Amino acid sequence: MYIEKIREFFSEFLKRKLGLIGLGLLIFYIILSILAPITAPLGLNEWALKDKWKDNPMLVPPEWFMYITNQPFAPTLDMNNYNYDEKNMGSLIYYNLSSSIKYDYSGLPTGLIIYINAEYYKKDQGIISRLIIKRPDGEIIKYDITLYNSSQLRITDLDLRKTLYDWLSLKLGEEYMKSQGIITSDNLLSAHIPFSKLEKGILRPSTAEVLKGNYNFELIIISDSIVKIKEYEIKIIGNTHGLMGTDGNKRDFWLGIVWGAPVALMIGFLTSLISVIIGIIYGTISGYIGGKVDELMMRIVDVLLALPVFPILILLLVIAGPNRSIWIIIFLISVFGWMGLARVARSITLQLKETAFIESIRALGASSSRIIFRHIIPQMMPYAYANLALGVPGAILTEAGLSYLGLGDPTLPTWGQLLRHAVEVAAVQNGYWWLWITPGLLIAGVSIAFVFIGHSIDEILNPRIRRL
Amino acid sequence: MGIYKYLAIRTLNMVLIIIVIMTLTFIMFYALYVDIKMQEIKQIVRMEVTDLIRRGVKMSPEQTDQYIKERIEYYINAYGLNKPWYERIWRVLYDLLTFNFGKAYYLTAESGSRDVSVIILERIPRTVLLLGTSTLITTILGLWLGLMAANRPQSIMDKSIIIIGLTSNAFAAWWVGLVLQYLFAYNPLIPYEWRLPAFGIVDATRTYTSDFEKYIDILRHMILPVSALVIVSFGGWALVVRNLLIGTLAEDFIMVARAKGLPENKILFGHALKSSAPPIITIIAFSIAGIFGGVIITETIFQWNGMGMLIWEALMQFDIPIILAFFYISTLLIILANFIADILYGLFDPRVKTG
Repeated sequence: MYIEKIREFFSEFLKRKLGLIGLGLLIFYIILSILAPITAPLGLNEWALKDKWKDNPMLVPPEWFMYITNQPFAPTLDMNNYNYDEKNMGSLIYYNLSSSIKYDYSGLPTGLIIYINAEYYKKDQGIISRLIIKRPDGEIIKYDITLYNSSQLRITDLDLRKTLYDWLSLKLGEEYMKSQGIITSDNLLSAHIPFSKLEKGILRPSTAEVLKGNYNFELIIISDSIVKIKEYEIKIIGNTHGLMGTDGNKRDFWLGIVWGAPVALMIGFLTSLISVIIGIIYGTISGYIGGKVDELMMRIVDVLLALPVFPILILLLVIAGPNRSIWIIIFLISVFGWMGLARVARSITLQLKETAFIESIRALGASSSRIIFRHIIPQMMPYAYANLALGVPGAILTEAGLSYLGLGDPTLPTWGQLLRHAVEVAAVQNGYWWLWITPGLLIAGVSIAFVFIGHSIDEILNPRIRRL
Repeated sequence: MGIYKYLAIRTLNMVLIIIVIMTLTFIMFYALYVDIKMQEIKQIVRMEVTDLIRRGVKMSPEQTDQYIKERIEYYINAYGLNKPWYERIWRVLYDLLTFNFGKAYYLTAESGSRDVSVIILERIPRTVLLLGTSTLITTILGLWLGLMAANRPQSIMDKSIIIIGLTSNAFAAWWVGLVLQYLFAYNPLIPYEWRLPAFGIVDATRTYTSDFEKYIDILRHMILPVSALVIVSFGGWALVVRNLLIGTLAEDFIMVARAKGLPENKILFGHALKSSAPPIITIIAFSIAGIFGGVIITETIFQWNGMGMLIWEALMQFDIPIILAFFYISTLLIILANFIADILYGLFDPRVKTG
């Protein structure tokens, strides 16, 4: 009987286009939620760490964007695979770590970082090593590095300045370098130079031209004891990054986007669930008891309905201070969201109370709580299901609004907070479209999913009631 | 129950709700209020002491302590902070109910006045201008589209109204505002002179030669925020009107009117719309009443210096007199809307009058 009803409901549901669209959207968000812990397992902890993101480009668009525009863009490349070669030459050991990359992007890199961490047994002194960049035009750039035992060395393009300046002076002539006025070996913008054509324009990223082709990076270490390479990685930072770009704190925006999904679903669903439960129980009890109690309980509903809810939420969250958690927000939104349903539940109860069915049960000696919870509330389930779905968008939008105002849980990346960040870096004015289009669309999409589903449930279960 | 007794009960109810809400708000703020006042007192006393010292009054440390203590006590008495909250609340409630809002702690009006009433009166017209316009457009657009849809159920028009109605509520007005700002105010494809102003009410850098020019510029500034508000709400409106009218159009008296051969327009506007008027009026009343609280973010996005921004600034700085006044005014509006809707219900629906 029960299973039959459920089957009937689903076959009805599947006939409705809006319901199916809603369901499809919901599945998309559920997939996104599942992807969150898979693609970014440490996501929520990493999000607040400043240090973790320092080697990303700042405020750059997604990587796929460079394939749909003809502006010069370059991706962020990670080279952590290298060929390892070891040779004994008498008393010395010669190590060669080489890696190569085919650089044929239209844009120039904005940063170059080399991480080296080596372990060896003469702990008190450093080892001289040399980084050699072999360019496609046959030019070679050499940079000497002193390695220290077991400490991570992070060489950036700023460290390469002097070397590159000298290299350019050699190639272009010192006269030319001096004629460039204020450019010196201390303020040279250097990240793009290894990847640019050796021409007069090379000094400035705006005039330099990309030299496409195969680049070979070699790290040569010569030591009299055994050296163990623990880490060797070259990162060429472009002006695009990942699936969703980066924000003003250099964070990978994909992380915020993908972690926003489970957070939004949880906020929406929990808030809606609590409101529906409070609303139905409150309304039913009020209607069932009747008389003075009903009068009082409905006056309380009147008071709550007359409150300016959003300012009150802001006020309470401001009072809650900076350690407000998502649970407080969920609780507060649901506390102000159940009154409408309570009124509906009360009027249904008033009708049901007079039916012969309830009266005969009462005559049989059933207790009030039994009648309320076993006989009246089950009859309201159709409204409950529809309201459960229809309450989600409001909750998500309210939370997004509060987060946008800076009153969200600071430890969680919700879409509202991403939008806040977007406005903080003036994303709309500056054309950082990836920062504000995606979170906004995702908020709207999840709301639409639940509105469509709720609308379809409502049409099926409450065919006549739904007028307003 | 006669209409007068009904009105009397409603009025009493209204006053009761306002008193309860204001009491709750006051209690919520009480601890904070005392805190802020105490800090204020301490600052005043500190200034008094430094003043004494500067004037060369010799005091031992014990004497100073004693003096500070006495002065603080004096001010606590003067401000009535030694009385418990339930004695002080009458004073606060009385002041609020008589629109005597006092002085703001931090915020000022553009004229420099710290009178809460002056500040609020300065801001209200701006919000009314913004929201009045958008509510008007939304209502007219919603009624018209709803009528169109209800008149031909299951047509393409009807189906699109349903979809627009369901989806448009899912967008936050402030995000739509961002999209509009991008498209019409910062869009690099639009020549600079053709771009719409992204924020503000008037252009602060510009001097206007005439009032007319100024009004035109205000209108230009209104386009984006009003559009954002209309975009997110007209669909829902149209859907409500459509659902109401479809119910009404299925009723017998419409069939009678059709059988009499009345023109379709007369049936729609004269019969159907009139008998669906009460719920529509209620919704209009509530959308007007709830306007102040709902536009905080939209106003901040567009830097529209109205009530929404005022309450936001006041909440961030705990400017309690303004917050209390705001809560009082918006509660009053919601309750008045309720009341007016009740009366209009009676006017449009004869059953309520006699019932």
